[in-house]
Amino acid sequence: MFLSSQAMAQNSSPSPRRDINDVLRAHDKELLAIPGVVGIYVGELDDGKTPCLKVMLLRKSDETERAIPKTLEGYPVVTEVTGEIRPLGN
Amino acid sequence: MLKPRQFLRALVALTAGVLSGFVSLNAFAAPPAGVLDDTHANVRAVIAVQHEVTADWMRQPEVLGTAVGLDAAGNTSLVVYVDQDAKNAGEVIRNLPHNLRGVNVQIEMTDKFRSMAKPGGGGGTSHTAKQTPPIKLGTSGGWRYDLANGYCCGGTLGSLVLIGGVEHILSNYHVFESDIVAGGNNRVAMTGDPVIQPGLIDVNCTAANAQDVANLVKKNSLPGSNVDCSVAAVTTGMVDPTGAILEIGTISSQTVAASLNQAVKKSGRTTGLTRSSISGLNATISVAYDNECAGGAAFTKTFTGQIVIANRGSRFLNSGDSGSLMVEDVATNPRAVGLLFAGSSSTAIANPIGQVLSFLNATMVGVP
Repeated sequence: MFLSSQAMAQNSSPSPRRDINDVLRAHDKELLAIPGVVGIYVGELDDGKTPCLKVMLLRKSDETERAIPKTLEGYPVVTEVTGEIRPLGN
Repeated sequence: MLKPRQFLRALVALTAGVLSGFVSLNAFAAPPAGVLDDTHANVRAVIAVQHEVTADWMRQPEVLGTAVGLDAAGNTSLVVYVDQDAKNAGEVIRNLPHNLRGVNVQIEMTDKFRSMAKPGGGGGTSHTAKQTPPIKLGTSGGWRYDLANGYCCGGTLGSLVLIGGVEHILSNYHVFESDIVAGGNNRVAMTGDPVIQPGLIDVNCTAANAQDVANLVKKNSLPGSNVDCSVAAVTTGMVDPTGAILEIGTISSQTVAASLNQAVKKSGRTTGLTRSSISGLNATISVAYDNECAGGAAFTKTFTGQIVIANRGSRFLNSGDSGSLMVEDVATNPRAVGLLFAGSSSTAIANPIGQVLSFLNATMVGVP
């Protein structure tokens, strides 16, 4: 089921309540359903210690960024442009 | 599998102190319409700007070169290589334009360029040459008949596993067995088909110039399972029974789970021995697959629980490295971490090796 970014934002809470991997599993399908999103993973913020959800984007797009919540269940959500993920045979 | 637009990734007009001109991919046929070669309008536009500015910009010692490249969104751009060790690199970058006459300018921080006699660069070890058997892994290879639609394809023979006590070469589904339509070569991959070293792409698409080292054992890992893997039963005497990998050596028979910031390395057909670190875990990723070499769309697979590795400028993993085994970056008998199979110019993706071995009911060949 696809949840809008508004709905996902409403699920946010000030502090993490459950493991970030469970949060990813709960939301990966609706995030992946946003046009321009190619992947989601558990990473760290630039401080090298704060766990976050990273959303991989096909290209930079304000529209796509607006559809992605800033936090999910208290965890920061950040985007990064990776381009298409493709098999790397030759 | 090779997609026509991937040709640009190998078609980099690099103008630097040690390299110049175009480097073209080894294809045995003219690129199809729409391929971004040096006749394409977008490429020519970038080259025009490149010719205009390169000499001037390279008067600054911090600028090591320029190239025609693709940005993360797949658009042509002018890449400017800046010496990452230069004291004034920041100032030089601030003074470079973001766009010049409609051409995007991308900055890439890099080591100083140096001559590389052979692919891989690590001690002159070739990962594409035909080896005298028994071969070491981390080398070019693929399905013997992987030629269709005017192109040939291949990847990396990554590592050695045991299945039911029998040695098998481990690589990817999309390297060994993703030809699933008669299509451009009137053939589909079948159990028993030869697997060759090096791959067709490194022998001018002529299988007679390669050697049979194993026989495909189809596992049909995709699209049904969560791993992109395939195996080939080793032909007696053709593969080093220790499972040694070029520039890595023997590995451990044990495996280790990925962890954030973990240092890793791999040995592959295109980029040789390279190192990076784990930047993400538990990734959910969509990957599109072709139905044969340079063929049509087969399916899009959504993987879960994948490993993400930093791959800036495709320096860790590039086209042709698929099938490489990713191991922990230790000097002696490293443990396997993942099976590399996909990525972009900034990100590489690996199946957790535990999932791969479970799917295959296999164990790594290595030191206990």
